[in-house]
Amino acid sequence: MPERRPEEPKKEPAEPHDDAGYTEEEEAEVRKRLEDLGYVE
Amino acid sequence: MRTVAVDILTGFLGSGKTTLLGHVLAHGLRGKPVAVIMNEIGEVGIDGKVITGLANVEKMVELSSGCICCSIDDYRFDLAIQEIIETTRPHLVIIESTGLADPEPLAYRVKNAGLGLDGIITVVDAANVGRQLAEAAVARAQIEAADFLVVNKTDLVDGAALAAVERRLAKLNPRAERFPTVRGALDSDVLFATGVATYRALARQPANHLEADGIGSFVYRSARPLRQEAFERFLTRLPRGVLRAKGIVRFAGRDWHALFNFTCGRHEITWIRLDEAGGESQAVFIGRGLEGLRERIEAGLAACEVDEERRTGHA
Repeated sequence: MPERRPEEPKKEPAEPHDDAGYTEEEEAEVRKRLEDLGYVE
Repeated sequence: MRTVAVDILTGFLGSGKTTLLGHVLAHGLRGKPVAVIMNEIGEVGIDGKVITGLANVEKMVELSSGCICCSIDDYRFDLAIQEIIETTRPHLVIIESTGLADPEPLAYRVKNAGLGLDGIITVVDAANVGRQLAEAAVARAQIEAADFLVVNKTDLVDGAALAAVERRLAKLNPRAERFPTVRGALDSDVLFATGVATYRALARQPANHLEADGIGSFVYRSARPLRQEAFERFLTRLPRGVLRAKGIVRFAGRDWHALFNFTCGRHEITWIRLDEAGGESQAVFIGRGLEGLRERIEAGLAACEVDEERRTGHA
């Protein structure tokens, strides 16, 4: 039986660098992406 | 970059990867901006010429100087990824590997490049998989790494042979969902990241309505934060019928929102900060026989929720 792939570190992830400090326009694009990818509606 | 999803399309030589990709790009993906990275060994990329020009393809980059899982270095891989994202801003990148590539190292490369790995789709040649497994270790690695196994060329084998192939695949990778098909003509929205939104829309329709592929969905929403450890434990215990789950959740004690992506037993969590996202957690669950599983899943989610009044001592 195959092992599941190791998961990403979860407990205390490093602070993300990108996707932070969006302008309004950038945040609108990110939200559109999240909608397209099914994360939100 | 983490809001760009990557699906890896793999499968042994001649299994029908490009045929499946061509069909999906021509008939599916709902018009979302998609970029394709095609890895072919050799000077002339024949398959790339097939894919270029299809309506949904914003950009097609060919990496033809070596195998994407081992002989193309990280610098060139990252460069190709950066170019494709900066020039076309796709929501989904599909990487079609060579027929001899091991998808696991490629999956790590994708994650190390800061991209969200959505899923690994392995195309299997039903007529020749037995011989391939006997002759090449990578054929086994491709099957074992898969989230989705597309069992192609089923018209070339009889019922008993197909049943034997299915049994063997289930033994090699019990986690993966299998889809039989002929000539890569597979229209399921569950395969690629951009199809998830279709199931979200489906969840708004009357109960028990299913997509054409027999797969259903429901949406979870909660204003309460979740306990991260309990939620991750919940994800590892989701029933076999759940093929995908995806959403944005707020964990107690964290300022950043968590994007989670569950695909056939494997899950990832990445972090994002959205000022306008609000405090609500929301997720979509997609799978087979969900009507019988929904109550159990919702109870599991409720058990992860934190009672904020109790937490802050205002009960």
